[in-house]
Amino acid sequence: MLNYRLVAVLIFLSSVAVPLASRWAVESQGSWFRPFVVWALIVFAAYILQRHRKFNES
Amino acid sequence: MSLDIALIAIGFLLASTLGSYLLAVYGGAISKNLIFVLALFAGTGALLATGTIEMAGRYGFSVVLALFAFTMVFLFSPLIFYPIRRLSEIIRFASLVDFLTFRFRGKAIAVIACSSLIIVSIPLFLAQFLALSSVYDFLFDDKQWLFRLIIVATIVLINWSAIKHGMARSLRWVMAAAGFLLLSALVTSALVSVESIFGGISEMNQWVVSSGQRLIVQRMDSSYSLFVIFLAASFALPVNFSIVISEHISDNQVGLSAWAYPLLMLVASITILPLLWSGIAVQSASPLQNYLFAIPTLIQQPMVAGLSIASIVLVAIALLCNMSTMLAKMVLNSFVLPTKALHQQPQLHRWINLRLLAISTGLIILCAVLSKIITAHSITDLYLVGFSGLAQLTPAMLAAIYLPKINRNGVIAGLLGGVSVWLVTLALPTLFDDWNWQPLGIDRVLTFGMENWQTWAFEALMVNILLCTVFSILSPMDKEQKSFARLCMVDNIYIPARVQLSHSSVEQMLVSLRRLLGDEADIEIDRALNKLNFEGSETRPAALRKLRDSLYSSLTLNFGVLAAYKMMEETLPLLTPARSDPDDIYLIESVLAIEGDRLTGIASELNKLRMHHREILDNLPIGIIALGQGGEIIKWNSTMARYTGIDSETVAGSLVGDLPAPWHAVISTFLQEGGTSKDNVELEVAGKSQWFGLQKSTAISADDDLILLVEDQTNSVLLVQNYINNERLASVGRLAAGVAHEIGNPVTGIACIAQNLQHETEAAEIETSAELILSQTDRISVIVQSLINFSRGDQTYHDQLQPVAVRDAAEEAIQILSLTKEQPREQFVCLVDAEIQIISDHRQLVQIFLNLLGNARDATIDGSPIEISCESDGQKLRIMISDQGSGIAEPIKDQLFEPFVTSKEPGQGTGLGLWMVFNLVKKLGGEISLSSPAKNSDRGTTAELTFDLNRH
Repeated sequence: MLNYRLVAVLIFLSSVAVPLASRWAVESQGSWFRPFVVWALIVFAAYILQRHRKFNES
Repeated sequence: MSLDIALIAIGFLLASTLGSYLLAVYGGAISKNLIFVLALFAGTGALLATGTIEMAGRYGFSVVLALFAFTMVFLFSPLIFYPIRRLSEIIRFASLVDFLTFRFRGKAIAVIACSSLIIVSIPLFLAQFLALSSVYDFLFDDKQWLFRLIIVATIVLINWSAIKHGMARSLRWVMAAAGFLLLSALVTSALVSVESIFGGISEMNQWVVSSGQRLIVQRMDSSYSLFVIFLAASFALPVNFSIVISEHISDNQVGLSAWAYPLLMLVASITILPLLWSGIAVQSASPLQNYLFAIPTLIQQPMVAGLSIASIVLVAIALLCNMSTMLAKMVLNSFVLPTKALHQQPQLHRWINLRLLAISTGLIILCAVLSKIITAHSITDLYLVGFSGLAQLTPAMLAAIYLPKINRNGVIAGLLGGVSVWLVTLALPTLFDDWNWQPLGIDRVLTFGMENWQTWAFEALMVNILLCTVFSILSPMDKEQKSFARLCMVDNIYIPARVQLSHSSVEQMLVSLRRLLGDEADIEIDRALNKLNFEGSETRPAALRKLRDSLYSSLTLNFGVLAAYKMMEETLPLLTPARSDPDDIYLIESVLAIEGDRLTGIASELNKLRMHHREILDNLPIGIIALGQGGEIIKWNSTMARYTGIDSETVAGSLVGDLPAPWHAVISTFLQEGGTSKDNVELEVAGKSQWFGLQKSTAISADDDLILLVEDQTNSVLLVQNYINNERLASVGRLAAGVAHEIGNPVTGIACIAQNLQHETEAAEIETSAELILSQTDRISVIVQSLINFSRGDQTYHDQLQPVAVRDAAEEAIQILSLTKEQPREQFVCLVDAEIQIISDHRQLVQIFLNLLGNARDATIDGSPIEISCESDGQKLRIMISDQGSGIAEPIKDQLFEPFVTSKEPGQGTGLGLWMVFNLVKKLGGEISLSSPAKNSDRGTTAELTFDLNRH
């Protein structure tokens, strides 16, 4: 079955999270490494989601 | 310096490849996961090592967004790769082309998809050669051709080794070594450069602000184009597909790639801007794409420069090896194998391997030559062109799993249109020279090439999508395409059809397959049998269908979808199914059992309802067998399993003819007979007679399926038999009552006469005889009374019970027996103490002894002694009567206490003696058992009576 939760997350990310995060990341007064902080947070979220999936399957 | 760096680079190359090889061969699960992620990381080739620094110079932060987009395919692998991975459990795809061929059917799609993928991959090949050339140019000034020759020879050698030893695994450790070197080089080079040039990270940050670089990199003007093109390319990148889909990667490893791969890319991305700024700060004259090794050389760090060069060389070689072998396999599967008569090739695998090597070598040589001819010098340009081309395959790939209406004609038109536009407007102008064109009637001049790369990349993609949609709408889909479109949908569950095979055993399949594959057929069959846990003696049609599916899947991986389909049609063809919708019910059950948790919403609720109904069917107290087409068993409920001792897993999918005796004969006969029911079919099950009732009916759906109901009627048959026995006994009782009445009167007369005789005579002999007559008449009276009681069903004896000396009762029985048949009294040995008493009825006990001793005597022809002995534990008294006679015949051992059961010749016994003893003992509150041979002997019989000593 189609993973509706994942689609919901995608819609949320594309409509709310990504525009906000990208605006914050490239603010003219911000540090150059801000985009990488956002990226690192996404990696951490993916890690947590994968751990959750692994636990559910085991 | 150059030579030093070259030697250091060679050292790093050897050390990393050796280390990776050792890890791959001897490492555990963690090492294998590490190799998997590093191999994925190296899949971008020279892009990270060279192209991204140049891209950062051109597009600033947009490159970070592009690289992030490249990793998103793994973040969202549940949406993209899991559906294809699920399909690859049925059919294993060697490449994206195989997947598209499977979904859209036909050779045309294979040829077009394969050609497109090769054409769009060429810029990526050229980018690797350009990266290698830039390294060589940096180190040496002349003999480029020699360097190219060495590189081509190295690639051919690695490819040959990989083709011989199984491509996927062999190349993965080379890729992993490249990934490791690349990451190490990026991090080390960035750290060393920042430290040497700026004096630290905080100093670099200050420089970034003061020099205005922060504002330069913060521009995002090309971010959207880069994001979309990189994301689309990552779906179709052959390396990604091969590693995640077609290799032996577990779901856990795919899960690992969702965060570990983006993490490695993040670490690599962080190093790009510091490297760029370091180069700008020291005003390096080298092109941006050479910064990775040029800056460490500039700041006198030969070790780091050597590491960087080694990483670029290895990552480029690894990607060239990987992509060339993969494309060679696609060419072989799409162009060569489907048209060849494979059974005419004596050494098929060697023949295939040689062609793989020839095609991959041809590709490498072609690209090596092309790289010398082209005018493009920017690795970034080549990657952007290559990724724009790869994006052309993404619509077809996504349509394959999400859009069932998209058909073959649409995909072919889309690919032809999109790739043509890409080739004319972007690829050729970039590789050679930009060209201009002014369309008639338009003032504006169009410039084809990198200058407007974003426009042309999107134009090509739009043409592709538009043509794909229009042609799909206009051209009809045939039944085969519709069926495979449904099969590939993301929410579809694969249910194999219940087709009939032309072979009925594994042996037959093997013989057939050997004609095509030779000895390889044995290996394929063994592998499939092991995977499915089947025996070589398997004959169940459902199991053979599974075996065929597994073989098809394996052949698809080795020979591609088209050739494998042709091979299966030639060797293991299917008979045309008689039904229009022959889904395998048994397989639906097994698939839903595994994949049921994937169902959501109403499907999940319906599945619960299905399980509930299944449970009801299973637990019905009646056996249910559902027979499909050709007598195949598709349902065998747990009651049937209990009746037969055959579990449903073993029998499901097999034919009625394969059932063990006696079920095979019974069910086959019943199916052939005209009636719909049959009662009291006697079967020998587990050594016991059981009776079954059979009924058959057509299934609810109007087709050939039959439902058989099997009911255990043993209890009702036994009940009827008991009823008949009871009727016979009642008749005997009525007869006995009449006889008792008729005998009673003369016996009373005899007793009176005997009493008179006793009183009137003084002769001791006559007196003794009279006493004996009286005692016998007493006994007759007791028997008569017993018969009367039996006929009345009287069972109330308890009031008459009193202490009885066991020995006296036994002695009396022996004495009576001694009067008949001239039996010597000495044959009976009574070992019972005179003091032993039980609460009983004397006459009943004598009767018991009489019957048991009489049976023992009849069984003892040779006159051997018959012993009566006692044992007591204070609670119970056991009286044992043992003989050394013929014993009890095995067949009637368990039935001796039933009425009318006897081992004696007809006319010698009524079969009521032991039954009477059994009833008498029960009435006296005791138990009786018989054991044959006798205790402590190898023959004869022991009758054991057990009485409670504490009874009052």
